[in-house]
Amino acid sequence: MTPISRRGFLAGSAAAAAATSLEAFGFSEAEAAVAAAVKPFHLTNTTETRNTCTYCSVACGIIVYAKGDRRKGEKADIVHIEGDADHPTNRGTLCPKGAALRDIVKSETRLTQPMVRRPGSDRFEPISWDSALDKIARALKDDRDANFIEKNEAGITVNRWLTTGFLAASATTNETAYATYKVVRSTGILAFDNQARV
Amino acid sequence: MNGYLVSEVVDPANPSRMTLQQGKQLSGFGEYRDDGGVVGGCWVYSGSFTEAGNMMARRDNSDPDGAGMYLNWTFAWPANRRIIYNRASCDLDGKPWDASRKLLEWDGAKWTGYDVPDISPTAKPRDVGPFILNAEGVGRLFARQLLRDGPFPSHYEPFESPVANLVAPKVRGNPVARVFEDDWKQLADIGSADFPYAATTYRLTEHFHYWTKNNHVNSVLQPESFVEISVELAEEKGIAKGDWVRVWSKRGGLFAKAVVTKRIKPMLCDGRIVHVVGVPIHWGFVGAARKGFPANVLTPFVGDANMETPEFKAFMVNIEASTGPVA
Repeated sequence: MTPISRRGFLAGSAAAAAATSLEAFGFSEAEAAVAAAVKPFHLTNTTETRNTCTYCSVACGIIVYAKGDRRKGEKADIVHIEGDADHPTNRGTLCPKGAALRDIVKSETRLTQPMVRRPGSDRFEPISWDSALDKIARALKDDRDANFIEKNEAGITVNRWLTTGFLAASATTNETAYATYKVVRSTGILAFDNQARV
Repeated sequence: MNGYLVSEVVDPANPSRMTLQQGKQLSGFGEYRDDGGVVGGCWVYSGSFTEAGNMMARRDNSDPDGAGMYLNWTFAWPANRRIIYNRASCDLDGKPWDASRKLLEWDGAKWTGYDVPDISPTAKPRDVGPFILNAEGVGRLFARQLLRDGPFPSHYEPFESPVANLVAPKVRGNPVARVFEDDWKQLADIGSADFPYAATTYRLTEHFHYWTKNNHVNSVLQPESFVEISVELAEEKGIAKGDWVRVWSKRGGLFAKAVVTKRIKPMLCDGRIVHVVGVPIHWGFVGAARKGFPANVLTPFVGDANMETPEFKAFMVNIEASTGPVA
């Protein structure tokens, strides 16, 4: 059985209540007209997913509504985002940025694939993930092989790589942040900072 | 990230009794060991995913006594504690400073209350202080280590300023702040007639940094770059609301529309009127909003003494009426 969402249940029971009272007065035609005129609530049959607003560190709770059942081969799509009324931080409210979150998902300038600006070029162009990662790995390996410092002047093992820096993202999960840290530090990179400071 | 046990742990008092079982998730960072018996990525997340399940997925927003702790709502590191150093909410004897807003209380044998105590649960009130990471257990007024600017932070004028520092006229900016040699040359002189107006950068409620210029709704709400000036400065420079203006510092310049408000008021500095130019920061050359100059073409390259935060809130500019940028 598909669980009925809170809002789907409310919308359904309001329509049922209206129909029942009209029928009691003998308005069966009116009842049909009302039923035909009621527009289905636009969040009925959507999947609600709890998440956290992408922007600032207040971390307001949001509910993301998606339509389309991927198990049936349909394409799932985010149709609405609103504040989570249960969340202690924001109690359902959102600021003008959080309230417009759907449009950052749907932004026309959103990056949907890796892009490269080649040396001397004045524009970005698409590149496949494989080619992009190969290119990055090659550049990192060459630089690390040339400049890695295994021991300092006193002969102590330091395993440093000072000629490359890494800027990590601020809007990531704990797991991504942890994996990023492990990868970057394991190479010996010291210049490692976070976009939150920029 | 939570950590798990690769070997069992037996009760030291009774070796036949096993306290922790191999393969189980840790219930908290207190179970970390340094003998190789625990695998864990980051101690602070320990307790977030225990044998009881994903603690971060908990959604019980009950709040006993309105204390605002919500201990059963997701997980807060470390140890699901909601306020660090919360023992400081009680006096020396462990009584809450404000009984109507109790977080913790010493009940004679242990710490009880609405938050997870940030102190050993049985540490007697006068034995252990609240600031457990300082050896003396109390807060420090004097910062003897770790900070460049101390023991107390002092007031210095910004590196670009309409007036010299009245307390120490020979000192420019904060003497322990970080400024590279070449960047010094890009600072306007103190009281420079070429750059007579104080400028500051800020954000708008409708935008988040440079992200939401890619957002249609936010770009409708605040579509284009502007600078904000006082009624007095607008009158002095012959600038009307909505006119194009050019604003420039010793480092660079920008064109923007003028918004004339009573919100920005001229300041009186050392007996002299100093006008202020406000520069919201949110525009660039891509996105749903109109193209605009980034505010940081104006700002100086100064890192503050302790945190290296850029001095983007106080610098000197000039302004004039303009016909706008040449497209």
